[in-house]
This record gives sequence, structure tokens and C-alpha cells, in this order.
Amino acid sequence: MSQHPTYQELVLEDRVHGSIYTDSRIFEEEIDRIFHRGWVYVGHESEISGRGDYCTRFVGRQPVILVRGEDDEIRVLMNRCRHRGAVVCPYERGTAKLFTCAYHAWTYRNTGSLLAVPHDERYDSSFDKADYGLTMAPRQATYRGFVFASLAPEGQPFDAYLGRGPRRELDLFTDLAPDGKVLATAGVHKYAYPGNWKLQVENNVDAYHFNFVHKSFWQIMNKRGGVRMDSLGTAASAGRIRNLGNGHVGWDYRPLQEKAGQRAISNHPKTPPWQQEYFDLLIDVHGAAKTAELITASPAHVFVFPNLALIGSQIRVMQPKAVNHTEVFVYPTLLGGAPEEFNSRRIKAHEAFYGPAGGGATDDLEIFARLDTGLHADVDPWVLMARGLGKEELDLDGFLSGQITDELGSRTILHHWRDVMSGIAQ
Amino acid sequence: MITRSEVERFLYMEARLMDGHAYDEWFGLWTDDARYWIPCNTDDHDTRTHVSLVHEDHEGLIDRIARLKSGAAWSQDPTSRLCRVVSNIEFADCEGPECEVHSVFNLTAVRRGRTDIIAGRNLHRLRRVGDSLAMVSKTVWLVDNNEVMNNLTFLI
Repeated sequence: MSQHPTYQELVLEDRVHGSIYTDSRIFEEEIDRIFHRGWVYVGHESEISGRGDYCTRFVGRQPVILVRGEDDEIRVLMNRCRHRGAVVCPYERGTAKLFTCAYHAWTYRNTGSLLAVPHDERYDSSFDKADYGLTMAPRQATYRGFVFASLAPEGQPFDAYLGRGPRRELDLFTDLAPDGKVLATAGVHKYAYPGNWKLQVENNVDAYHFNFVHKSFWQIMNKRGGVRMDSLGTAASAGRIRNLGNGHVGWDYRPLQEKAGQRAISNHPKTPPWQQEYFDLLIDVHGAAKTAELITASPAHVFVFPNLALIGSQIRVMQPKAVNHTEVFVYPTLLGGAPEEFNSRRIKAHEAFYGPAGGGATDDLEIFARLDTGLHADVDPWVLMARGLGKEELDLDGFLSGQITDELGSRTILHHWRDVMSGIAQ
Repeated sequence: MITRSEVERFLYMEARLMDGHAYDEWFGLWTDDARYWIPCNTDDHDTRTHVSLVHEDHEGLIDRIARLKSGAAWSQDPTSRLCRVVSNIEFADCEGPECEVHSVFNLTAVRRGRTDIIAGRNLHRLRRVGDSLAMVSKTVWLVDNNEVMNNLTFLI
């Protein structure tokens, strides 16, 4: 632990020290400072649509139950019996009125309150069940169905954390559903890789890699769709990447697809019926002008620090397990109120690229493994993120913006990371 | 008429082709109305509203094979070394031109110092085509289809 460099020394303007991806001491501090104190995405309301519905998650290393109680309130409860500490819910998801610890049968309501303690006459008379409900996550907040929690009782308020940039992306993601409800009920692809969690985090908003890592995929898609899927990730692309504050990063597709919205509302002859039907439903809800605006900006593509990304149709969650072991959960979503064929195509398009047997994300995982090996060669320990540095502009929305293949994403994320790790930011 | 010994020979050959990454030869076993399905999270679900690990028709298979052969499928560079046992074949000789066969497999996949054991049940629908058999559909129920998974980019 001698001469542990400061985070200011590890994260510079244009480069970072490779040890931020490989040093297990840094990892332990990340879990503590970022995942056990800051705001962390937990789950989506649509996963627990009925009273008593629950799913179990981890906030950092800490097991929680995301549950809709009998009172219809959504709670993030620590999944730990107040008696001896066993998880009271060992299942991934389900519906329950009660959570009973299997060890000594302490039984909790789905609101968290303690209902029954067997043979409780042997406890002191001052023992009061009201004092021993399941512990609530100290803070929780929801925006457009996305539930976040913080395990610190005090800290940055949720509204300040999320900010207007990410909120707008969550709005876009949700408003694309004709009935205003995104459904994260279509299952989940779960995969792991032997590398640091930040490798996936930065990759979420790295357009530069697409043409190289995913060549095997876009070559086929180009042939099938007659589109130049590889045009997004070149220096000539009109797409933008933006610093949304607090380590959040978004892509802005609007300059790339100015005509898409107009086309959506004008019954274009080349629009297939299943898609036009969807556009028409959106027009019914939002009107033509707003629909055109939504389609021009779509799909959402945002990373919300530290563990959530919305990418196209999916909700992606990064789960750090060890310095060199990360799990990724990818939930393709359905759009409530959209035509059946629209949603089934949405699932199919997702499957082709994502998942452990898919043709895209698996190649990212391979790259993360190669990074984890390569980063241990630390004679020259530096990792570059200089692309586009100094060329950023303030865009019309007031965000610092770069060309989409710039490394503004990594800089935004890691500079915020540095500030959180060194106690300057939360 | 499809006989048990024919079915056995077919399944063992398919296993050998998959183990050897013989993509074209494996693709050649499929009929044009192919359906290749590996459910995700659970053994049975509606593929229109729930994501699969693999859910492909003939066209999807063409894309999968083309990708694996592209030289840029990094998740199979280097390729996994594979060896699988196919067993517990449940099939009695059938009179018609198509039959269903249940079997199980146990696959060892070795890549870059890591060994994975992958197991599951198969349901093949086979069709008599001339002197040989062809695959109309194949469903694979992986025992770990709801677990956090590693690389599954080889043929299963």
C-alpha cells in the first residue's frame, strides 16, 4: 500500500493509469464510494407490476429486494433477516405476501414489516417487532419507472444526481411506447467477462470501436438491409456524443437522421406497414410534431453513472463482482401499446446482436478479456482517451459535445470517477 | 421409414461437425424451413415476447455461419476446443417421413485456459430427404439458460 498514487495522478486530462482497471485496492474503494454510497440503478417498475411482485438485485455487494408491497408502494429492502442475517428471499423473482427466513422462520410482510417471530416469549419484554422490519435502502427514488437507490442516508439529492440530460433520455426511451409504458418483462441476457466493470461502462458509449469489433456483424447487416451500418462510427459521421454531467454520457442521433421524423409522420411508401402502424399510434398520442421529434432523436443511447445504460431497446446493467470479473444483465424491452409485430421484431433484432450466443456483444466481451490481459503490461501504464480533446463544443442544449467517435465518453466518465473517488464529487 | 440406427448416426455426425467448427457442413444438415431455438431464462416461452438465446430460421442460420466464417468473430478467435457426448437418445423406428428425437448432451468447451461444462437436452425434428436425414428444427434446453453465461458463440 506504500505510495498509493492519488486519483488525480491516475486520471489525467487525456489519459488514465491502467491500474484503475486492475488494482483490487482501487476496486474495493469503488464499491464503497460509488456503489455503497452513490445512487445506483436497481430495477424497473414494470418488473414488479402487481402487488407482492418482487425481484432480487445487488447494490454493489449488498443484496436487496425490489418489491411492490400490498400497499402498492415500491420499496428497496435489504435482503437480510434482522435476526441472524440470512437472505429472506433466495429467489430471483416472484410474487409473495410474506418473506420467511428459512433459518428461524422470522416472517416479514412484503412491505418489510416484521409479522412473526416464533417463540418470541424468550426475548426480553422490551423486544418490539416494530423495531425489526427489513431494513429499507436509506434512500430510493424513481424516474419514469426506473428505480434507483442509495445506501447512504445522506448525499447528493436524486434530482441533482440524474440531471436534465439523462432525464431527457429516460423520457425518450419511455415516450417511444405508445401507451407511455416500457415493459422490461421480455427476459434477460446475462453474461460475464474476466475484466473490470469500467471496460463495459466506457464501451457503452464508444462509437469508435463499432466498425472494428463488430465488423463480422455489420458486414452481414449491410448486405441484408442495404444500409451502411458502419457509417455511424467514422470521423465523417454527423452523430454527436455529449457530456451530460455527473459522469453521464449520451449520444445525439438528431444531426444524423434529420429526415427520419418527417418520414415517420408522412406515410412514406418505403415504411413497412408494421412500422407505420406504430408511428401512427405515436401520432395519436403525441401529435405529429412531437412524434417527428421523438423519432429523429431515437433510439435512446445513454450511460447513467455508474451502472445503467439504455441502448436502443435495452436496459443494460453493469454489476461489478471483482476487479477482473463483471456481470452484465441486458433486458430487451417491449413498448407498451405498440403492435405485436413491432415488438416481436424488436426482440428479434436484439437477439441477433446481444446475449452469450449473439453476434455482437460477445465480441465486446472478448475485447474486454484482451484488455484485462494487456493492461497488466505496465511498463508504460497509460491508456489514452485523447481523441477529440479540445475539439468539444457547447451544443444548443448546453451540453459539451463532440463528434460521436471522440473519446469524450471515457473522459466524462473517468473524470467524474476521479472526483467521486477522491471525495470531490458524490 | 426412419430407423433408430440412422438417427443415432445422424446425431453423432452432427456432434462431430459442431465440435470441429465445420460450419458449412453443419449448415448443410438443415432444411429450408429450419427453426433453431435455444430458449433463455426458462425452458418454454413465447419467442415473440420473450428473448431467446438463439431463435433463427434459415436466413438467420446463414448469417450466423457467415459471421463465424468472417475472420472477424473475435469471440471465436481462437476457436473454442470442443468435445461433446450425445446420449440418452429416445427414439423408436418411425414409419413417416419426419420424426422427433429427444437426446441429451454434455459439452466440454476449452478456451484460453478456461474449461466450461455445458449440458442440456435436445429435441431434433428430422426429415427424410432422399437417402439421408435433414434437420427441420432443433430446440436446445440448456440447464444453465438462466445463469450468467460465458461464451456460447460456437455451435450448440
